[in-house]
Amino acid sequence: MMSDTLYALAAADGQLYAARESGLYRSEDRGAHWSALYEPLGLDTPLPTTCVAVQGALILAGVPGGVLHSTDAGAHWQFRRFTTPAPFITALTLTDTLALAGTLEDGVFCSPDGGITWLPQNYGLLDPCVLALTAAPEGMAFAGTSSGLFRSSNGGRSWQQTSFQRTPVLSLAFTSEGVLLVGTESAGLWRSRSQVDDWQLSTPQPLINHISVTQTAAFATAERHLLSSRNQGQTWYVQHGFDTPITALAASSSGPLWIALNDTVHLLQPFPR
Amino acid sequence: MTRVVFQPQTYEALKRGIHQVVEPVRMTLGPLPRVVAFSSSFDGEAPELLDKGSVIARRITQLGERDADMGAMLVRDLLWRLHKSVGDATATAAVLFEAVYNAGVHYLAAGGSAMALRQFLNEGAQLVLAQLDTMSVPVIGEAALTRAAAALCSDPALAQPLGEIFAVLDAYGQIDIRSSYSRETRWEYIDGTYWTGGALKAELLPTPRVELQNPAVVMTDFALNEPGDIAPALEAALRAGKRSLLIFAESISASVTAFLLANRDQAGFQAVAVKTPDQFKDRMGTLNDLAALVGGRPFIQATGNSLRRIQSADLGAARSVWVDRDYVGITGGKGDARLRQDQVTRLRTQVTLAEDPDQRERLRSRLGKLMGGSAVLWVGGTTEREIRQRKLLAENAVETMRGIVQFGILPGGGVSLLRCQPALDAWLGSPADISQRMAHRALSDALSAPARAILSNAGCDPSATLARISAEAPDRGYDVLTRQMVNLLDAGIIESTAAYKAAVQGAINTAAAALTIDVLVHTRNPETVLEPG
Repeated sequence: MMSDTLYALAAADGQLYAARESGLYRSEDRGAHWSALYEPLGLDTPLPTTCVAVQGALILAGVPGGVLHSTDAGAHWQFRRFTTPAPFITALTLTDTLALAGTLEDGVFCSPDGGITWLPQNYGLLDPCVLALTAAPEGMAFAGTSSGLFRSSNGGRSWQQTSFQRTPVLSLAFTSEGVLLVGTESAGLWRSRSQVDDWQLSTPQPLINHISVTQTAAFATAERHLLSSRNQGQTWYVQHGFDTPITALAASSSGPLWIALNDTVHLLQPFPR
Repeated sequence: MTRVVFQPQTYEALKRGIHQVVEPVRMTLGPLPRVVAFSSSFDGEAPELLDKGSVIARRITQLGERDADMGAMLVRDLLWRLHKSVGDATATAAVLFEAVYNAGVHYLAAGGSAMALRQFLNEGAQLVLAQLDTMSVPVIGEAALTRAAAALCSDPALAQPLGEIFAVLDAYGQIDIRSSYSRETRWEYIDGTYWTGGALKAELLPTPRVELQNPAVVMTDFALNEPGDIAPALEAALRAGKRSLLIFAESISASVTAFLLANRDQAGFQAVAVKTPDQFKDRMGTLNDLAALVGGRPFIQATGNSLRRIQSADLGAARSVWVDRDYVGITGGKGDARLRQDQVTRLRTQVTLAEDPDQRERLRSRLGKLMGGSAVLWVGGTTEREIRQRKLLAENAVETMRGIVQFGILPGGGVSLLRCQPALDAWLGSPADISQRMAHRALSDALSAPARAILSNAGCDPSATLARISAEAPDRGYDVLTRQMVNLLDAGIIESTAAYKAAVQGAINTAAAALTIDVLVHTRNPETVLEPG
């Protein structure tokens, strides 16, 4: 069992990915066994991986200074270097037409060709400290920053301030019906159907670290609690409580749900009876 | 010697002057304009052919008749102000101005009250502006913006980049138009913020372009004359763990340059000094913008600060900086994002409230820089003259596009003004004051004047065509190119709402004010040229 720092989990097509201090790993049996995906690179030292995004056979992994890019499910990798100084990648999001990378100090980088070339796209993004990203297929994208939420209606090419300001946004997701869920550091979990101004506070918990959605449900972590919602984020219930903070969350469309506690991945049933 | 001119000569002289400027400008209205030829100041050079109303008006100076020249000056000033503030609709303003003025003079010659007429004209103008607002349509998305740009400049090679640039940068973005000196028109986006005014001393640039990573930033409007002026800043940067420094200053002396070079060569600490952007009253604002972008605090002479007391916390910081002979750019300023957002909000408010076009432009430019990205459009052409003309066209289109992004578009061809007539008729009501009736008549004449001019310039029968237009739906009008009734917005026959409203307001208000002029006073004789023999 790996014990190094786990930064992020992602679930896609029945497989689970873990971005860790020591690299990127994949499990094909719901987290029971893991294989290191950077083996084809033959690295001498571990390559810290801070985030991962997967769509089909395309995998993007956030590593120091850029992203690792694979179009064949991890069999081969290419390093896509961003501009200098080397940015710290904090978030990645992928749709059919768009790939976006958020960074700790350099704003958002946008790739129009599935992660091959990356350009900084920060017009209107007044806070370059990006903590969360999400994008919809039609080109709408949101960036959660240390000072609030920014919106792009042209695939991340430029950004506008939203009315959701003054609080760090840690997590973002669209529900299956296109409702935007926004998890904050100190102001709880908010939802907006219009994605513009109809913000509703959905949870009493102030700190929402992660959000993950499936076709039928949405999940969020509030420090030591796992929350779930089956009505597009209108109401949330505490599903589990733990002794230690939850550091990562991933939900799969096919049912399973994974969380990380003390850098260890645990499988949960989404709605236990 | 002072000369005083009274009525009725005043009205007649002003009318003559106004007509001499408006008539050539009127010819340029619409998609089939006539061209005005200006003789060159140089022997043997071909006349200059112009079809831009504001430029034509600007070139008609010093009419032979001094009384009439004062009327011409009124129009020239109005059109140039519009040109600078909105970049379009100047010919429409000229035509409206003359129509209102001439109709007003008829009434005043019969003994009407100029002040009452002015009041009702201004009231009617507000009504027209409100009607135009109801007709305005927003322009959203790259395709729609490109169509709008194409309608404005009739140059597809310019329209495409303009549409894309405005879809990315919105109304406030920093856009530099430069001559390309090649056939192609190309454009690029620049991440971060840059200012004109590169390195103060070429010796500080070991290569034509220097890039500093994670530098500290000093912001001041001081002239740095002694090494002791800047040494505390270097020490503060070193204490903060920095290995490079960008200095914004008014100037640096040779001894300060030598001091910075010695530190680079001996201690490996690279410092580059650049000119503090902007001049005079804008400089303090720009320094505050810089502080919002990179953090730290600016050292401003007027506040009695001294760089000799600078601390590490006073330094700004950025992810990277680039400097060449002409420009300095900052990417990834490490200022407090909330302060930057506050500064953006403040500037947005100031831009909205600014009445002076120059001040508004300066504020908009500052705002664009704070937004963190810009575009450069390189305008090409086959000859230098063509490049010059296309660059001018692009500059005007950029100003108009800013208004379009913010306020939308109206049906063009003068039709949106025609559609204001019912509201104007309702305003008159009954019984109405005689001055209000005269204002209504003057405005009614004026509302149809631009459409008449467009039709007349295209060789159509204005009266018959206007009658046909009035029977059409509100968004339909006559396309003089295809000679058909069309949906104007679909056909790309549009006006910028912002520019059109500015033209209507400026023309009516200025004409109404001009109607109150009763006396002309010439305080000096025109300069006479003594020629030998």
